[in-house]
Amino acid sequence: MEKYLPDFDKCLQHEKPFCTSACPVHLEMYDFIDRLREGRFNAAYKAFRNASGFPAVAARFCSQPCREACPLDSEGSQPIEINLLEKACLMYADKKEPTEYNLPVREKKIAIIGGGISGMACAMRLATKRFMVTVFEKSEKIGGTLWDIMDSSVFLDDFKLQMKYLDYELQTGCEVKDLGQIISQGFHAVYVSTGRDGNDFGLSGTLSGKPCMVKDGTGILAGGSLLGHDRIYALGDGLAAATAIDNFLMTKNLIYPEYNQTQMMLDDSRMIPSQAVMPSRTDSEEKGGSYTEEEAVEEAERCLRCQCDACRIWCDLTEYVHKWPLRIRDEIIATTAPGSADIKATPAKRLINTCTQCGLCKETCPESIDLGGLILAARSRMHSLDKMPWVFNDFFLRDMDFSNSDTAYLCHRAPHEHGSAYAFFPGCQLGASDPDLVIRSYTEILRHQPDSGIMLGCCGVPAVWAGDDEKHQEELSRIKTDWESLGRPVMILACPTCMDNFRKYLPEIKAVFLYDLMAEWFQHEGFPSAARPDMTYSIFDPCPTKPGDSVRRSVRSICSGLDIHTEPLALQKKFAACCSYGGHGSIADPDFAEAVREKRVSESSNPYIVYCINCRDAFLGKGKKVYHILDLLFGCAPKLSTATARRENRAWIKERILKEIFGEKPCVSPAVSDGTVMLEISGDLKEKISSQHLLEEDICEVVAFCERTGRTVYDPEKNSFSGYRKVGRMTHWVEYKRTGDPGTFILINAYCHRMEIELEAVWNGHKINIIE
Amino acid sequence: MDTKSTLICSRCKVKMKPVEVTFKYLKRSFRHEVLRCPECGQVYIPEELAKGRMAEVEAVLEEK
Repeated sequence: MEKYLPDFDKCLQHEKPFCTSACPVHLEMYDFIDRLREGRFNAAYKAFRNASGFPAVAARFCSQPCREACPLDSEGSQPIEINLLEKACLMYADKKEPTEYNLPVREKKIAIIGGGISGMACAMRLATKRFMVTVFEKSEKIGGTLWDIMDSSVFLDDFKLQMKYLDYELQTGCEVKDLGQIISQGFHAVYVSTGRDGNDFGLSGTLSGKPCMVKDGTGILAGGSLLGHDRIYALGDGLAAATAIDNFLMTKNLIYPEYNQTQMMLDDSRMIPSQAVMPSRTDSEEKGGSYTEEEAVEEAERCLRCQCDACRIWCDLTEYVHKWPLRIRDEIIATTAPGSADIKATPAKRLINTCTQCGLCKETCPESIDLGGLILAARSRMHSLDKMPWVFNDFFLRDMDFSNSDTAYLCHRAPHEHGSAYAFFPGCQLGASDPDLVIRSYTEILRHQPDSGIMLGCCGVPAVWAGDDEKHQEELSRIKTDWESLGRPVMILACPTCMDNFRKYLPEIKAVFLYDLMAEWFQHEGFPSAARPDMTYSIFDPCPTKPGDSVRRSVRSICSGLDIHTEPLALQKKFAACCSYGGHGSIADPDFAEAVREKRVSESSNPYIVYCINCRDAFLGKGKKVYHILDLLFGCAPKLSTATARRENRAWIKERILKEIFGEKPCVSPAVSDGTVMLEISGDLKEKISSQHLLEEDICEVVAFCERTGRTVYDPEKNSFSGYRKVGRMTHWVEYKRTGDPGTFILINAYCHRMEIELEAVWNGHKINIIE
Repeated sequence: MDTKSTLICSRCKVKMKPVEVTFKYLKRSFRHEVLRCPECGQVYIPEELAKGRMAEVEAVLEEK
């Protein structure tokens, strides 16, 4: 699990938006824009003032580097008019009084050399922190070159307002010629902002290459237009220098402030081009006009609110749980840490078991952070700590055991052949859904490639998803042994999940997709013709396949060979999302699985063509018109099978292949029930049983047990009997009626619970043997 | 809880009565009153309880 964690340090979730990063005063744009969207001009003004120090001055002379940084500054689109929004705040905010903080005076003297915008900003910020600030200005007035570019009332009023509650000393007409003069007066730090062509006191030639030094314990740094910076950057320099001086006085470590570029990546799908709102007010001094309150709100609403959120856009899980990968990582670390849940939090226990393992998190992340990998590793950790709730995976593991039991599992050489160059491995689900698809595929394979054996069984992926590494290894060794016994054939796979499992865990076995072969065979001999409604379909690629995979091309070429008109799904140009089956999360969080299915079927009103049987069944369950590519090739009608029928189908395939293709008699009876009880079950009830992941054979056994032991409760009003028995770890309840025939019963209801009824065997002081 | 007093234990031929029963799930035990045979201890859990309150408690414990 630990190997996945370092990558999370590269997460760009907390990177600043492009505009904030480009902004010389680092205006927190999320705060600013969000407040404006709500029409809260006072709050937005506060955000602007906190960032810029002197908002009226900053708004007036800002050169707007944010415009070029804005992703909306592209063809057919215009950047957000942040400067107009700042001016709107100045116009519409009616509470501009600065806050008066009651802080103790800090006994450190700071000299600011130069009373221009940079020096005044530094003085203001440090005076706010209650340092003892002295501004030395060689002329008779503060403001520097601001006198040349704007009405003096603008900046003098702003200086006055923002420094209303601040104490600082101003020495005008006082030119500092030598820093020694300042240091000898006991100043602890100096900010040099002497303006363009001003005295730099040798700071530009320091060894570090940065205009700062520590001399006799005094920290000295320079900034502003002295360094050739534009006015808005000079303001930013002054504010940043104040922070550097504050840190220096606390740590004795002088670090020159630097502008860090954001590493932000914006997903293409977030880019929505738009035009700027035109300002309609012309009654202000602004040349281009200014925004009305409504226009300002409208312009703020246009902001994309840039954030690297590819994971939230593409990953179904992060979107559903409203959590970022960094938070999920922290929750997983807490959940998988040793210790009892009584003394520590386990916030991710269900989430870990909900992920569909589609891999889109890693694929879409600009830093390739593998959240899915971490989640899978967490499942394994939970299993090894014996903290995995058994119910999340019990049904799927029992299903796998059945597929790999003597009743359903088959490994057979090609008919009439000693060895097999190929072997068909349809996977456990294709035949469970529709046995015809497996039998007809195998017949087709034999027609083209007679030296093909067959392996019916499960690839072991339920054990991977359950975090049971030991069981997974057992399944892999079984496949490997049988593959070798067949003479190491090329495996022909029908299930994309099996293919993924083979590629990851059985790289020594060469595997090809059935659909690649079929596309080639039918290309040569012509595609079967079948009457199909004249409509447009969309191909839904299963999540284990990737854009360059040949199987994607093969399925499209089969469709075109079958004269089927298809159009791509809008959301699947680059990525393939999961149908909800992946990861086996449907028991851990049925609502999530349902939401994913709903999302997938809503992506297009076209009927879908799939080549994963689990996708087909997931969409069929939602009432979507959907075909497996084999349904179309063989002219089969898709239908849903209950959990019980799925088992019977697997047993039936084995029996039929042994009989019809190999002319052998099955050694094991495929009967799934012991036959002691005949149950009449209505269609609705069969569906209800299946939806609870219960099996009719288990229900039969519970009825047989109740009848055998007499452990039932009789309801005279309904003339029915109720009883229960644990099957595996699940307690099954049945309600049934007796018929005239002693071996036949009518099932009225069946349900289950996960809790165990305890201590029932001992009652009234004597032990009752409930097992007979 | 289902208070059907007409239910009868098939084995003991007596009416089921509400009595506390101990349940166990994911290494935790707790008690709840359900219909039970006063003679042999046979328990009856109606579907409303299994799919209602019990399922809620199960879901909470699965997150512990």
